[in-house]
Amino acid sequence: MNNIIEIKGLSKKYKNGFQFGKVDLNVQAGRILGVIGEDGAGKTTLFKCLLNILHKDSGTVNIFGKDALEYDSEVKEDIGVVMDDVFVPDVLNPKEVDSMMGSLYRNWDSRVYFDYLNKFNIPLDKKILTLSAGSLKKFQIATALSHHPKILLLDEPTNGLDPIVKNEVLRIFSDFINKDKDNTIIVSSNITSELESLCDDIVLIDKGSIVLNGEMDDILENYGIVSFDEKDFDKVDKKDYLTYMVDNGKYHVLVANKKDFKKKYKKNNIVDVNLEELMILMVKGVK
Amino acid sequence: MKGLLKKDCTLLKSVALPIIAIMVMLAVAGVVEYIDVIYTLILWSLIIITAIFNQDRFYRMDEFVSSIPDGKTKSVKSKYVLAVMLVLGLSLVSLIVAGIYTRVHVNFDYRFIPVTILATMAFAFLGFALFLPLTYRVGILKTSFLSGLWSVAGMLFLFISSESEIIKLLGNYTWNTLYLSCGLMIFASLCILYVSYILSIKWYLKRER
Repeated sequence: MNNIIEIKGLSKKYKNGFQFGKVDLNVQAGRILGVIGEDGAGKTTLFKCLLNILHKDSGTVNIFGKDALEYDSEVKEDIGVVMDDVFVPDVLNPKEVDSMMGSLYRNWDSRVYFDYLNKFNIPLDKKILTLSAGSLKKFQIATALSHHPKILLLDEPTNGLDPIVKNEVLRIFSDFINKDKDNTIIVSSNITSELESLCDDIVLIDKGSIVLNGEMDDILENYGIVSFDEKDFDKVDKKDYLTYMVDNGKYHVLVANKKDFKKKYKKNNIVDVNLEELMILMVKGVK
Repeated sequence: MKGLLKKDCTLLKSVALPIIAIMVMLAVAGVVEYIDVIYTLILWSLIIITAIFNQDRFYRMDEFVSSIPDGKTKSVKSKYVLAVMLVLGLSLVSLIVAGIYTRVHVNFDYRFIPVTILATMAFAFLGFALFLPLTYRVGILKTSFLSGLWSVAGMLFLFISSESEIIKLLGNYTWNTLYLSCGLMIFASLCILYVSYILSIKWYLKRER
């Protein structure tokens, strides 16, 4: 499969000392990549570096096979963005946004835009600031989709949505992926259960570095948690687990290969791990 | 660029009411003291642009324009077009004030009107040529102070200057010299404004939030 995004050696240092990267990451066309991590881990930095909102200190970002900096304008024509702090002023109304975006994107499609607004029941003449949190999010998604992007960058796209709307929005993302085999989504969210069912691949960012990167199904199939008491835990070779956490005297150990671990330690109590547990153990666990 | 200009005009509507009120007061005052008021009216264009930049800051427009194709360049272009539109618009207001003024003060030499309007337009363009690139270089928070200073200077001018003295000063030159000087001033200020536009784009592209 071809890579639609290739990131090599990307790094960014903030004035407050926070260091992002160096990060290497490939995103395959036609896939949904989930980005998880604590608040402040570097998820938004990754998004903003992809869009050149932040200037990287080193590394290269290629999107559609082109250098994202050199071909900035061309590349952005095909990227739809849903980020809380990257949007039009809320004193505008949807009609004004249509006329504004129409002159900013070559492929802006007013028909698609108004179809989405109609579908989402968003009033055309009311200022954006009067929209509820859910309607605002839907409005952002409609705006991001109306210039026929090939990549969607979604930062917490379902935050604040009720379950019905959330379901509707997730369906729109699925439709987007199914519409063209090269359409790709990169989505960050704190609702890990949602990502489990939505994403093909997952990346975990911790303190500015990628600590886990792989196919969702592989990870959920192979990773597991084993619990030990202190005496048994001491017998486990450090090389055979990734991290552990102690809770009520029990050692909960994260292993990367359930089958191998089971074979070696003859343990039958290896349980499947979900994305939330995986994230907690990878970020907060002892290595 | 058109889209961002429309956005600027919409933002302008939301901050315009107090500005228009002051402009009307100045226009009324202009019927009494013509020259000072034209000068001050055009200074207001800088205040209006400052207000729009502050609105942009509030709405984090830096990040939004960075996420769209050619966004930063389009944003700079829209601000310069808006600046020119404001100067021309306010000059038109000044012209209307002048029309009323000549009706009220029958002895006033109407030939002063183009001289004063063109000269103040040139000063306004120069003001933008300094203010806009500086804003793109260091941010609106720091340059708001500059536009404040600029307008205080304008207000002070309004209070301490004497119209008759200015007219006397201008009277030392022939009309042809005055018109030629004004034309050259406008031309020079537009050239400087263009150079400042190039600088603004260069600095804004380099700058990040």
